[in-house]
Amino acid sequence: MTARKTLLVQIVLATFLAAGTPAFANKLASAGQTQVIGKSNIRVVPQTDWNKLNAKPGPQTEVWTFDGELLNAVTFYTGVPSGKPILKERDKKNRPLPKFAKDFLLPDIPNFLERTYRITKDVSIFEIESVSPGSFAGHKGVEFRYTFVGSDDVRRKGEASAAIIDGKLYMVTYEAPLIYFFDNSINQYRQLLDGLSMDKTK
Amino acid sequence: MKAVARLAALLTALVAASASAAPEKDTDWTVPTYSGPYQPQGIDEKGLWALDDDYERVLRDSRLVIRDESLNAYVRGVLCRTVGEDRCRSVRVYVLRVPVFNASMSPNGTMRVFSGLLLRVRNEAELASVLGHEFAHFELRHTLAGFKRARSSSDLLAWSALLGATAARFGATNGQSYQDLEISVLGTLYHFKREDERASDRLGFSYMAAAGYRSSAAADVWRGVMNEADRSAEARGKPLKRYDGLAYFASHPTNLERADSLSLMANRVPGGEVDNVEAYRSALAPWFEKFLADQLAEGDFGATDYLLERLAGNNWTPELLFAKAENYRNRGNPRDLVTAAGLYRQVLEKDAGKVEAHRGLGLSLLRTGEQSAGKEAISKYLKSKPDAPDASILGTMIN
Repeated sequence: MTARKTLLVQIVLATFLAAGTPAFANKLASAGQTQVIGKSNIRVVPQTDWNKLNAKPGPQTEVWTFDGELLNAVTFYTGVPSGKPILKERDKKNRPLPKFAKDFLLPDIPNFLERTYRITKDVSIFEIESVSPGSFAGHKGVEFRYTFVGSDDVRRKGEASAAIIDGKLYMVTYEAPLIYFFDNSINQYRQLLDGLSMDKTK
Repeated sequence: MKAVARLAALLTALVAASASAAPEKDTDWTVPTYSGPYQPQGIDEKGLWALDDDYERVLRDSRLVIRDESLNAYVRGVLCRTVGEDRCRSVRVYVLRVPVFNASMSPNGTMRVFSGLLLRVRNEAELASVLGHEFAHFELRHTLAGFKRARSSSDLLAWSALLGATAARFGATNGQSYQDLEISVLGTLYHFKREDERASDRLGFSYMAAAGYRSSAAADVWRGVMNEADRSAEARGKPLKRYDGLAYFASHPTNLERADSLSLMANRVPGGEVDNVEAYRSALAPWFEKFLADQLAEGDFGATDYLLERLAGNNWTPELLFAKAENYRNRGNPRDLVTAAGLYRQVLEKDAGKVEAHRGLGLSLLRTGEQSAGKEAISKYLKSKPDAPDASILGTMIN
């Protein structure tokens, strides 16, 4: 191979690598700046810096974290339509995910999340601790707390708020290991939850 | 010429298959003399045991292990009765809260019993047949000369294939997925595995006979598992293959042969008639509702519906009827909600104290648009269970 050809290969490789980088990169959600969740009409102004993960577990989702999604994860579900699962199918043929339905009642949602997690996260133990009235971006909804053990054998605690708006599911969940991590970031999560707003014009 | 050769090969295969399905000369069902605790021999096996010891350490501390002493003592008791006290001493039993039909025994003497198995079997004899079969895999490890010669990779695979063999899906067990191993290395071991299964079935029957358990329970279990897989597929609109009136998955060709050979063997084993249905029910009672709830949350409508039918037989208890209603409500088609509402009403007729049925009835009716009747049912639930975890959200629905 001539030196020129080698250079060409290097340039092509470098271009590929450079182009590839943004696909793997996560973004900073800076404190004080309005953030749009995914491509939805949901906005929030965080009071602390968060990381937005580029990897999306479902088409209408976005995950925010401080230390990595295994240690603290806020997952936004922005407008899951009726007839669709909230996360990507993992094994559609043998273990299809449950689908959201617009006639769901608010008390159905915690159990719906449990059934989804049993498949997507290989959860064997899922306990719903409380289900009470809540809100999502100013809409009346449901708030629930739960714990679960996933395939990594870590007990995690979760808190979620959800609402059904115009027949679509809007939900945000905060999950972190029960030991240390959950309590450590719960206030920042609640700040996010309280600051959610829905842009009506979009 | 090629066609002739192919036909000849096919005929040979058919003859071989019919020969393997033919009854064996199983006249001696005495349990072989126990040769005492076994220690691994050779580098491969020692390595395998060391690996297994590591798995067991993880398993021992797993949150999935059910620590309930009485349940553990009971399951262990059934195993010990089946295989005898001497053999039983070499086993550590771990009951795992995983809603999958499975039990496994690994080389170092670790037995895993899944809650999904405990939910599915209906009596001690059925449980004993599975535990005995798994233990037989463990014991036959000493005697299968060909097995000893196997290289470590295939040895490990053989075990992992056994571990995963009965699982409809493996799911989560301490992050160890045996299926992954099977997928990555599996090739020609199916035949080997089948023979191994047959040998274990034979020895399993010997244990059952010695313990006095009803030997036909083994075939009952396998038929149940096949029917469940069948109903699960049917409900999901997956294609079925029917053979001899029994449907089974093409990917599990051993199942039917297995049930047939189990039936054949069961007819010849001079076993007892012990089922111990009541003892089994009372041992499982503290966990039964939890295991049922786990199964319901799996979201496999057809499998759950079949499982409940099998457990109920001719006696639909309020508990099972309630689970059936929940299964329909979970699926949630408009017709399912109507069916569910009817079932919840039947539960309340049988047992007015099963107040959760008011909740299910109310939610089903509200979803079908029957507002006033739905609200009334929810009110009744809240009156009986003012401290329910979802009392406050339900409260907002009746005002």
